[in-house]
Amino acid sequence: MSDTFEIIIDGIVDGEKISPHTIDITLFKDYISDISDIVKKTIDKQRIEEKAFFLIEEGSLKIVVLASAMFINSFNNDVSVLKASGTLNNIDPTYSKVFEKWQKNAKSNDTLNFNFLHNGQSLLRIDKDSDFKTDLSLYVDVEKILYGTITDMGGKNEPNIHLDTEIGNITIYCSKGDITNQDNRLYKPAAIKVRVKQHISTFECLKKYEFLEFYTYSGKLEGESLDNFINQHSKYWENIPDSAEWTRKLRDENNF
Amino acid sequence: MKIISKVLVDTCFLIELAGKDKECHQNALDYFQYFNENNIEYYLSPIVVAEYWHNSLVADFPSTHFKHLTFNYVDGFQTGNIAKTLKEKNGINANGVDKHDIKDDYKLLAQLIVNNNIDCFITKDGKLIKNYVEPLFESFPALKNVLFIDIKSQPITSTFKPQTVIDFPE
Repeated sequence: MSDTFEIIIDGIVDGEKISPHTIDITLFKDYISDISDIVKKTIDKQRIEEKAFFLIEEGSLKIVVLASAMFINSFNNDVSVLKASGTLNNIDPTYSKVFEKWQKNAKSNDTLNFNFLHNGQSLLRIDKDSDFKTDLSLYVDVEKILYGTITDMGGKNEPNIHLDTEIGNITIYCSKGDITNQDNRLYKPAAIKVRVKQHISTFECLKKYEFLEFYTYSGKLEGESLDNFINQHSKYWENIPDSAEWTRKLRDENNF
Repeated sequence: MKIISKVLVDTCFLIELAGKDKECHQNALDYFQYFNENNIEYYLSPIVVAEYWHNSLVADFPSTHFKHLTFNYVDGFQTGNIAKTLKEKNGINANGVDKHDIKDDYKLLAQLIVNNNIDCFITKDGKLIKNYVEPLFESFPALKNVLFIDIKSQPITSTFKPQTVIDFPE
């Protein structure tokens, strides 16, 4: 059995109340994409696919979701944590990203407000007075290697690289010098070492990726390359009778 | 059958793959070929690199054919959490000093937790799975999403059964 979960976006944009006749298609697309992230988030790698349909009413944009108890519980738990702590750190990163973005929107346009309702009862309201914070002290600088395909490079004021990865398109900020004469990398698989801030418990990365260097990734080790590897490396391990034992000994002896 | 897409290789798996005379060389090769045929990406940890390089030449290792993990502050933090959890489980005072406090095994497991898109770990060390991985499931449920393969006790046919080939009539 499904419950009704509603998200109502209300306010004035470009001098017009949000209505079926006035909503800008780009804005509409943005909000629908955020809502889709919320209702299709993943819990313990189990994909929750809620059935969502939307209604646009005079003065508001209303999205109605036929939600499962699992989704409502998960959302409610996180909203309780958010209300109690006032920070976005301890809730699901999918929610915190959207809440933070909408809070920013409401602060730059004080007519905008966002309401989440369960069976008509208000669960959460985000408006110009909302003050949910992100505690950056829980984010640390890490270096990672990202793999994907470069779809764009350049930019006059803020040069960057667009990398299409399995987790979506990532913008990597770089200097002009980093990408000068690198046009031949466009539309090809790439490996890029980046610096980014990562949350120590949720492992969520903030979206500001900083370019460090290009890496080489040659794809599968197969055919002649695999044969060569085995032919060249067999000799290194001839005197090791049991690789598991050898590794275990190395690990046990290497701890001080 | 569990479908996987990314595998972290342990040092002893690499040794078995590289060494023609090793007892599980064929098992390692079967798995590696399965990874290639099914576009399963293989990852190298710097922890494994340090161990494997201990006995081999750096220059001739085909490292560009592997995707690389990094070991950062976040991985260190998880390594500490794992060590503390296991010590508490084993009844050792978490504040006590133990020579084997931070094993490299813990660092690899921490990398599996942090890089939670990696869904398989392959080793020849069954003890690692039994002694360290299984007791951690409760405190680190992310590890339950990882398929742990011991190539010695689990040849490929026991993990990935060959797919049935269906001949459609012309």
